[in-house]
Amino acid sequence: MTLAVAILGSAFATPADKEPSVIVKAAFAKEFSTIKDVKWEAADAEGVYQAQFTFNNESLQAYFTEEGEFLGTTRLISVSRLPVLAANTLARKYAGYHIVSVYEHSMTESVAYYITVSDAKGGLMLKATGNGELTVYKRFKQ
Amino acid sequence: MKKIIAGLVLGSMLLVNTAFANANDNVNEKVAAAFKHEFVQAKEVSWQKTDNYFRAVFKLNDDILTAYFSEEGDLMGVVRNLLSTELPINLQTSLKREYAAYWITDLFEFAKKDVSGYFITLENADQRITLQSNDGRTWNSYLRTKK
Repeated sequence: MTLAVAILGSAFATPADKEPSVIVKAAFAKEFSTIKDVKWEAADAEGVYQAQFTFNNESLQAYFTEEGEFLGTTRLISVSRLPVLAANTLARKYAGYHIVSVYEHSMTESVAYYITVSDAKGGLMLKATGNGELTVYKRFKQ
Repeated sequence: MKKIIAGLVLGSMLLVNTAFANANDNVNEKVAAAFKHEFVQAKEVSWQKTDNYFRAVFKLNDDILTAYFSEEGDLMGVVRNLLSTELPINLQTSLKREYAAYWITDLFEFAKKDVSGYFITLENADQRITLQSNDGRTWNSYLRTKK
């Protein structure tokens, strides 16, 4: 599954044709044992389920393959919740931009932050790491 | 990597316990310039100084941060206190799974140049443990002491 699928998953997810298998539900229970109220959807990638639920009073999406492999989570966060180095790089390099949204994307092997910013010319999706690396992931035309 | 981080954190802890003198009017030009370069949008800055370090406490994105500088203007590290709900999700779920019987007594994010991570101190009736995470995904044991 591409990163974009996970990040945009909540926007393009559709109701799942069928309930996820016992294997998928068991994988979810293993990761989020205290969560009982889950809404399942089909992510914008074949064979990937998106679980929508509330965790610590925040809306969260978790992604699983049909085989029960846990792919990661996404959540919308405020810019103040970015790691210090990432927030500081953003403030230095994109001071004149409006911040549209910030998503934390926690995968099993890494954590990344996707920040959408805009100005009069258009928009950018930036990818940041906890160590302050900030790169342009995608460009949007106005 | 571990040595760098451990050095930074231990250094920070030592700095916290060191007597600071108010230095708002005595920050040298190198330190002032380095701070301005590093934290463009900082507000409400107050300075303190020990024999060897300057400490700046300031507001950035509505958070209170503490940054440490050498007299030469080198950024030694930045520390930000956090709530557990502000941790990356993987670290939150790990705490819920593995340390549900503990309570949190300290939690902060640290950063230095291109190195960052989290330290959390947990306690139960019998012991105090400090965990660190350098990758935002997993906790590693850093210190464990019996009460």
